[in-house]
Amino acid sequence: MFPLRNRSFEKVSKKNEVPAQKKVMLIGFPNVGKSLLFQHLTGRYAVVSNYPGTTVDYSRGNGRLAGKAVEIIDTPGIYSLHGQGQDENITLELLKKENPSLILFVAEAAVFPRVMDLFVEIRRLSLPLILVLNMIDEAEQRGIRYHLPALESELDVPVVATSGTRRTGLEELKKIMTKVLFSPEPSQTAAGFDSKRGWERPERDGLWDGVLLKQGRHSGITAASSRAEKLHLLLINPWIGYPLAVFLLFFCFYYIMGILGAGTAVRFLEEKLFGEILLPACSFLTLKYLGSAFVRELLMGQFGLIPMALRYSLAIVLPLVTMYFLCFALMEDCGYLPRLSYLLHKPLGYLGLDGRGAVPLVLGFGCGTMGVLVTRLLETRRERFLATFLLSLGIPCSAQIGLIVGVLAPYPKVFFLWGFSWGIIFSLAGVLLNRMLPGRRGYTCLEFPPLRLPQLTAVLRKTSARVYWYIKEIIPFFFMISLVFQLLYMNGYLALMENFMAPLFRHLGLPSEVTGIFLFGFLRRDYAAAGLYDLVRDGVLDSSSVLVSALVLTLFFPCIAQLIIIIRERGYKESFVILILIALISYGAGYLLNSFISAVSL
Amino acid sequence: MRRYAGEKGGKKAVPLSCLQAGQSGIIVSIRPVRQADSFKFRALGLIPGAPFLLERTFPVPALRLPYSSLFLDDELAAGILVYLTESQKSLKKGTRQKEKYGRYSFYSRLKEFFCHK
Repeated sequence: MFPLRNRSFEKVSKKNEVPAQKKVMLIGFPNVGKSLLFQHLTGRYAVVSNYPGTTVDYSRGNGRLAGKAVEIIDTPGIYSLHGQGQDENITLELLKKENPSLILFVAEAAVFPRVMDLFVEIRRLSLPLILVLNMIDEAEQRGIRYHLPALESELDVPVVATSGTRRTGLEELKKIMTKVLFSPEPSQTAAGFDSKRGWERPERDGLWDGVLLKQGRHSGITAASSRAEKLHLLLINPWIGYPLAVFLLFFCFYYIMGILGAGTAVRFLEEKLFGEILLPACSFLTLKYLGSAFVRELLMGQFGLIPMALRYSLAIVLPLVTMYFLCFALMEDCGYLPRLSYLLHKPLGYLGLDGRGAVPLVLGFGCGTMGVLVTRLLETRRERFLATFLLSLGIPCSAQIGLIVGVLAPYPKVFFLWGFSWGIIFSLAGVLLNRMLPGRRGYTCLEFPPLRLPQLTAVLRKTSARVYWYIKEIIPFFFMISLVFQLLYMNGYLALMENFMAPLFRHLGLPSEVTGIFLFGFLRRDYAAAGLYDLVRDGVLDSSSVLVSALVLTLFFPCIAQLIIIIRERGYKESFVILILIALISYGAGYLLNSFISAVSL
Repeated sequence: MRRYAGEKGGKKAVPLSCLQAGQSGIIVSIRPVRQADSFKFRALGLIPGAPFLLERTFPVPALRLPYSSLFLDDELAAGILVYLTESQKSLKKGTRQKEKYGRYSFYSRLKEFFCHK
């Protein structure tokens, strides 16, 4: 899912070693453990989750086999060589362009007969191929055993049984890869591809249907017997599933992020660590060692790099983002997200999305940039546009939502009004846009992955990788914003801008001090939310101003990083339309809410 | 009486979208909306002859197949014709309507009517 292509890695490999000649491509169904194998073969982290569509772009990394560098490419999962999704097309394009020296066809051992169609299609490409029966431990737990030599002779390809989570069979896989890759026979081109006709379509192969049916009929379908199956039935039961989803979201956002994150962790880091130790120490050191008042002002001024950029990023945003990513990683790894997609399939239908739309929207609560990237797993362009619009308009990132909940938590009535207005505007905007856009959503057929107990190390590793990625992304932005605003402030331009924009916010019933935080908001919404947190702490805003500013900020423009990704994914035209709609909706919503508050004298 | 493709002998094929939760049977034929769906159906094990168990019908049909569990749109489910297994006839509910597709309530009949309108 992220990070995308390992550009830094590519740069390093270009500088330090001879570019890898042999390319190994991991191909298989979604959610069979390709990314985990990639991780083991290259040593580079790739996000691994328990739902189909985790990987929406390819990743490259270098592995070493018999002392030689080999390029390993991890691809998004595909069901056939005739897929329609954007992520599936990435794999097909790669297969066409890269001409890999070896394909590692990864299949889930417990349900191996299912993958036969794709296996036959891949085998017809006449490329060197190894069949990797991954998750062999789970298959053994279900009483499924394979006679590998017999399977090898039947399929006429090398077969290796591995377990990515238990790290078994990896050495044997490397040995066979070495043997296949460095054998004297030259690799062939992708024979199945015809530039005019596309991939050669395989004829219906009765043998594989026969295997599947025979085993299916013998095994039969019985009522849910294992604990995981019973739990699955409970999770997809609407009477239990919907209240549970509401409870989980409320617990995650209100208690973990609002009370524990913004209330306790942020207060400790911000007031104790920064307020009492770091800022006084920095102030003392800059006064003592820095002669230039200009530099000192840049570092320690009102919008200075240390009290603003460093404090906002490390003391305010970081704890909230970490907590959200931890909650999200737990939900991902246990397999809850596809069940949530099932429950949200109908409600999201009113917004023009299907159940799959739940994944980018829920991930968007972590970081909108990631959410926009994950819209790739949606099937139609219409759905991708709608999901991007909804993400940009009404899905605040974890830091922003944590801070807003933290700010509003002391006023339950205001908190309820904010949540209600946000929900109404988000739903109305989605429903109306869905009605106005031509076309309809794609057809959905989604698999439920098995429920698994999350592994603590995997969850922590994934959370830390995401937090690292997030910090790497936001810190330069925060420093840049601080620098720009400090320079504007020192030259008096900031006051001019605030005066110029103040009438705009006066219509929303907001004081002129709020103008500054909305100026931050054009660059990063979480930075603006941190500014709102400061204003409320200093007692500048009353409850009605807090409510209006919180709502407008929730529906405000996407941050710069998200905007760049939106332009890359959706193009200039669609991005422009999204921005115009957001500007109108957020300002209109603020104006209406302020008028309502004035009318009822809240 | 409405007749469906795949109907032969005493058995009648019914659309998946018209079944109730808990019913099981064998898939008879699949009419995918698009060609690409048929590849995905095959990959997921949703093929003619495969046994299934309908776990839920709301919000949308959720199926259990020999090698997978999945959910699909009502529109796609309407294009899948199935035979109910013999054991369905011994179910308590709807025994009066045994002649017509095992257990069928008034609601299911309405649903079937609108599904195929």
